[in-house]
Amino acid sequence: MIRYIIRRLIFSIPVLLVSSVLVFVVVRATANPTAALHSNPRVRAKDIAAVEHALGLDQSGYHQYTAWLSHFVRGDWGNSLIAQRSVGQDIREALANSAVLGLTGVGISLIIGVGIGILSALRQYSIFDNLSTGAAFVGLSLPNFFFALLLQIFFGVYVVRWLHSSNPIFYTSGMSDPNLTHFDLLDRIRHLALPAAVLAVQIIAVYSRLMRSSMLEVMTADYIRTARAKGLTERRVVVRHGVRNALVPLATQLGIDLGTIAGGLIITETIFQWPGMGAYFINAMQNGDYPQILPWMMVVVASVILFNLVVDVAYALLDPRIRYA
Amino acid sequence: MAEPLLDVRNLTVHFPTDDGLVKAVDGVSFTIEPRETLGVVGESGSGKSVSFLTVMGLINKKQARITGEILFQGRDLLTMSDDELRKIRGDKIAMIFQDPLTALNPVHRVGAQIVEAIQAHREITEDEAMKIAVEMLRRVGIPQPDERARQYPHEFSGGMRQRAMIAMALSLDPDMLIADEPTTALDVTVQAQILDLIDRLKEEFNTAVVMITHDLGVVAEHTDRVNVMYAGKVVETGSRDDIYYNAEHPYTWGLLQSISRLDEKQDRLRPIKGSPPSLIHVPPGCSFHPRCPYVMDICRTQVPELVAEDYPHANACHISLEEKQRIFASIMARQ
Amino acid sequence: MPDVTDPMVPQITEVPSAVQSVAVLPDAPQTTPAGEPQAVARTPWQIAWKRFTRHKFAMISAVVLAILVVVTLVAPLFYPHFLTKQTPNLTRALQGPNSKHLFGTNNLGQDMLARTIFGGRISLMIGISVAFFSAVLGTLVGAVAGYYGKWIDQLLMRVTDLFLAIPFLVVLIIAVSLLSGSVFDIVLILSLFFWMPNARIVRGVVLSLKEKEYVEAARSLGASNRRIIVSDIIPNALGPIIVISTLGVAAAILAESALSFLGFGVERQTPTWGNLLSIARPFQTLAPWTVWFPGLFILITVLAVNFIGDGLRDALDPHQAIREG
Repeated sequence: MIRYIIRRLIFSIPVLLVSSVLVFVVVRATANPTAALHSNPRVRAKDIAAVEHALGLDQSGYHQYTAWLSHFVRGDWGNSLIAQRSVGQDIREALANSAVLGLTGVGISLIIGVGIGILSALRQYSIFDNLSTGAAFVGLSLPNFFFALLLQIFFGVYVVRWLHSSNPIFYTSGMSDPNLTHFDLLDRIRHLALPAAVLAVQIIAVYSRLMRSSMLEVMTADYIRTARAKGLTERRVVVRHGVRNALVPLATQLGIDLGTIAGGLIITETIFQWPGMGAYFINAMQNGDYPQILPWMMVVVASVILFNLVVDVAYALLDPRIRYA
Repeated sequence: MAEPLLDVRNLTVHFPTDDGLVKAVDGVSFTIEPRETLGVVGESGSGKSVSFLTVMGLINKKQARITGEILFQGRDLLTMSDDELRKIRGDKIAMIFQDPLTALNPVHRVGAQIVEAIQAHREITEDEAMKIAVEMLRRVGIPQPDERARQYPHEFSGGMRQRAMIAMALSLDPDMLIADEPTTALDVTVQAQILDLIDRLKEEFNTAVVMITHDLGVVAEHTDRVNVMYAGKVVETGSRDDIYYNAEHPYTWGLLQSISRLDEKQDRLRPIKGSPPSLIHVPPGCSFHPRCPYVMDICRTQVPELVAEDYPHANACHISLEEKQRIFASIMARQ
Repeated sequence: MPDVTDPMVPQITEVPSAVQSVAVLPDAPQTTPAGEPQAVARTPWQIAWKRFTRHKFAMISAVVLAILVVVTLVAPLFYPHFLTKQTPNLTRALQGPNSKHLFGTNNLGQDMLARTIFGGRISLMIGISVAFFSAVLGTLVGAVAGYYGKWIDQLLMRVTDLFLAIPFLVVLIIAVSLLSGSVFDIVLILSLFFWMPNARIVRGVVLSLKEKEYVEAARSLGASNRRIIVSDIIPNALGPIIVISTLGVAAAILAESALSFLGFGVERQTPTWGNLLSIARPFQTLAPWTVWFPGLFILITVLAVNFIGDGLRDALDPHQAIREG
């Protein structure tokens, strides 16, 4: 097992390398920080050339790439163009913030979603099942930005109106109260609630369906019949034989969802102004700030590769048949 | 006479479906004595599996309409509460199934699955249960049982898996073992081993055995009595010798004729003409009549009763006993 | 994030398998039920239609969707009327829903009903075009990869693995910045993305069909590979392909809306539902109706398409040839 992990990690290196080239080429093609300068007639060509030289833009693509790569792997990610802040620092913070939102949102909704899926499967065609199926459909069809805006309007406009206060129960933007100097858990929770809810709707919709269909498939398997034939209580049959086996296919989906936290929460973070990786990306794209985008992309790629590996390992742990394949 | 171990009286199991009412089991009665081995023979859809799944209580009561009585050691299993039935299931009556690969849970170790069965019915520690499990694996002929107990089902061969299933089923010393096509999914050489194993163990454990199969050949050497089922009914029942040397139903004759034998010259295989009937639209009268080479007018309208014309050998056919014996003799002469 | 495939299970009757083989329709190819007294010859399409019409939600959704499509198609006939309703007129600005303006007006005084309908034209058109192109491209590539296997298949899997692992909005946003925001480019980019999940699913379907006996039979009769693909495999894969295409419409509409909402989609001047929501954002607290209606229409459309897709799945693919893998 350990050897398998190490082997996978070693194989990731060429993948990362290739990705870095692709990322570099693509990002440099899209992000043009001097575009504004070029289109401004009052800026002299000489000055534009000076800026480009300072940024190293006048060198060949190959040189630019190797220069960037050599700094990147040493941890020197440079500074953002616009605000001249340390990119490494900014990305670290953004990653942490996204992680908080992502893990909380996914964690809670996973438990709820899986629970709903199990109950739906066990009580197939019941009212509960039909309701949760309907809800899942709506959840899958509901554009997350629409739901986010609705929440913002509801809490920002109506709740405030009804309660006659300027204090919505759940905050509609930001990560924490700017006036606070210390970490306040309650404040954080109130800020976290709405963005996490947007995330939760999608997660619950997907996982309840997934678990439901997985359970339905598992419960018709022969080993369930054997378990019942042994005289086990129905509860034990459902939990130790049903749920245990039904969880396995969810590992893939979970790996994907966790891997995309680092960059997949763009909409939620933008709407609620949560300073995470998604917001960072949009900001950088709008500014053409490629020193920001390049490391960001690399972090996203690395995260995806890492979680792919985690999924494979999890699969092997969950399903002993895979271990020896 | 001592009370039979299992006494099934007029059991019917019907499934309402979108396409109609499926009459899987349609009025079946038989008994099983302690320590005897009953073979139950029939094609797919004959009701042989469903009747015993019903005995075990493994048929979903919400989807099936079940009538009749199933008396096990004097108690009617159909009127028992789920909890009482669960205590009997696995402990007093055990069942093994056709495909041992899918019948065992792939993510749990084999030993653990046996321990689970034991602990469901006995108040003993896991260690003690594991000792029993390992011992059972040894008794079914699995070498290095303590290592094997820690392995997963996919690490066993097909024959070994079925042995493990048998070990699990017998670990609680049940009074009756139901084996639903236990050898169908196995290689021919392994089939014989498993059947011999069951023979040996049923003596050691004093267990009654029900051998459900579609293959008369399998049943030939390993049963005391045989029920032949067709379209949800028992069409013939008798001792093993009765069935093989004195069959009294055209369907049984068809089955006997379609056995391919290595020791006799055969010009061609003789299948039974026609195909199994739909259980929704069962043919009227004798359900076998569309395929019977000796069909008479009465067969098309009147359902034949299972009558012990030749007690205790019984059959459900309108042809007279002498006529049947004559036909059977001529069939055997031709073979 | 919207999931292209929804693992829903069809209505299975839990009759034990010993009974099922006699009482229920056998496996593909479809034939009439065994034992039925009168010989009713039904084509697979008739059987599928019968199954589809049993799905109440799908039928209702089909009607709703038809109405929507007709309305948006018919809209240009009222063009002059709608045009005046969409001319900015600040005197009418920011009115809530009333008898003159059923959906209210936005900050520029434009009638929201007109805007929503016109936005719908573009959104629906993009959704359907993308679904169509990505289905065609995805089917071709997926069928070839699945049938011929080996390195073609490996290549397909690796490439799609790469792109599908990264959060899709990121990929799309970068692609859009490389091109432009014209409707054509958006359709192009979305198709170039969505063909990948389609290809993977079709590949899976083809892989399973490849092993079926009638393919072996055709091959043993000497049929060429191309003929087998065209005559045997694709017709049997049509069911799942139709289902994927339908669900693809929903995914495409959601993707376009998300992109446009973030400002990286269709150019601002052209109304799409996503754009309308994006424009509405600064005024959402003053005029929440500018958010409700475009968003509601996205929800209704996507929900309807998903229901129809589900109904089609029950009708055409009851054996769940589509599994996400």
